[in-house]
Amino acid sequence: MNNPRIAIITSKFNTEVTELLYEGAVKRLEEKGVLVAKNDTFFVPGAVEIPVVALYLARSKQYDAIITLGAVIRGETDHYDYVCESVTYGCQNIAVKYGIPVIFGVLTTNNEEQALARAGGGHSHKGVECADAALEMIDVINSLPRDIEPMTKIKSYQAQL
Amino acid sequence: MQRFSALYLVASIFQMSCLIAQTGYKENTFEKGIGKNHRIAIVASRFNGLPEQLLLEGAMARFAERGIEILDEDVFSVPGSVEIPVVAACLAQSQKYDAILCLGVIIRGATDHYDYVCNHVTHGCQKVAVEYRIPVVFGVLTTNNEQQALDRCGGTHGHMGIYSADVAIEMAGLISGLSKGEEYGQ
Repeated sequence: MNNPRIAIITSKFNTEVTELLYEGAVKRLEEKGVLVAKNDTFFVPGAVEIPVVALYLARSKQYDAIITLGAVIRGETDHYDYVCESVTYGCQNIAVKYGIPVIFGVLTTNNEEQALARAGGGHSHKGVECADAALEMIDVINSLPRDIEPMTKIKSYQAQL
Repeated sequence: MQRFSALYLVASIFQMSCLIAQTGYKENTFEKGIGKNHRIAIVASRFNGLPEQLLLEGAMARFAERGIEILDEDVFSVPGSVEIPVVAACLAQSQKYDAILCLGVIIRGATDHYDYVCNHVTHGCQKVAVEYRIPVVFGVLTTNNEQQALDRCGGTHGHMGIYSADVAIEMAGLISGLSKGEEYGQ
């Protein structure tokens, strides 16, 4: 693998958790010999804003993978459910449309304790897991047959008509 | 009343035959349409280890049984179920396959993460299927605990790997019998 370029999008809502996720991911990538430049890391106000940034990054075709990090914690209302849904749909649409791995490192927990536990506090570390997943997915994607871009495919259908 | 229903039956048969003529639908949909030369890709996640391995083994055995060869290079392993759709999308773009079989296991944990991962995969796979007009067979188990998952890969509740292999073969035959393209408005 020669110098994969990975972008990291981190949401700033619930900062104490997302900071841990971000640090874990960057550290893990460094361990594996992949340096993430300052201008490849993006911070957004909340998890809902992740997909739109991911969209621009995917369209730029400068990256091999995009890691998304965030923490959505349940409150009193159903807002939590809709935030989670909007992030998952947004990220998956981009991945499928542009054929780029969008690694989903957004924690969706019932309380802050659960979130901290999953950010290196005993249960697991989502940031580290995401870094590993990103590196592996770059390998998988590079091994795929990829001769046809989505737009050319549509053109070839038109040519058949 | 009976005359009406007979009329309705005749009308609906006529409608069907028009539809079949329009879409270039070949006469067979079941056994006859299934050729042995279909190329099927498998995307398998391995987050949950054992049950996922069982699913893959079951599917591979079933393909071998039915005389469909799956090459090593047609099996793609991904870290988790969330990563399945992006690989499926690239495979669909390549136009090298007649069907894509997705295998994975998602088990509920203490948080709602489970629900969103399930959403992720179902939405992504369906989007690939609809956008690229290729059968993306959903062989992803979504269970409350590991036992339920094991029950569904060769235990008391059947074998999702075998079942979805059959579905993939049937769908590859069915879709390649339909003419692709114009009638869906491209």
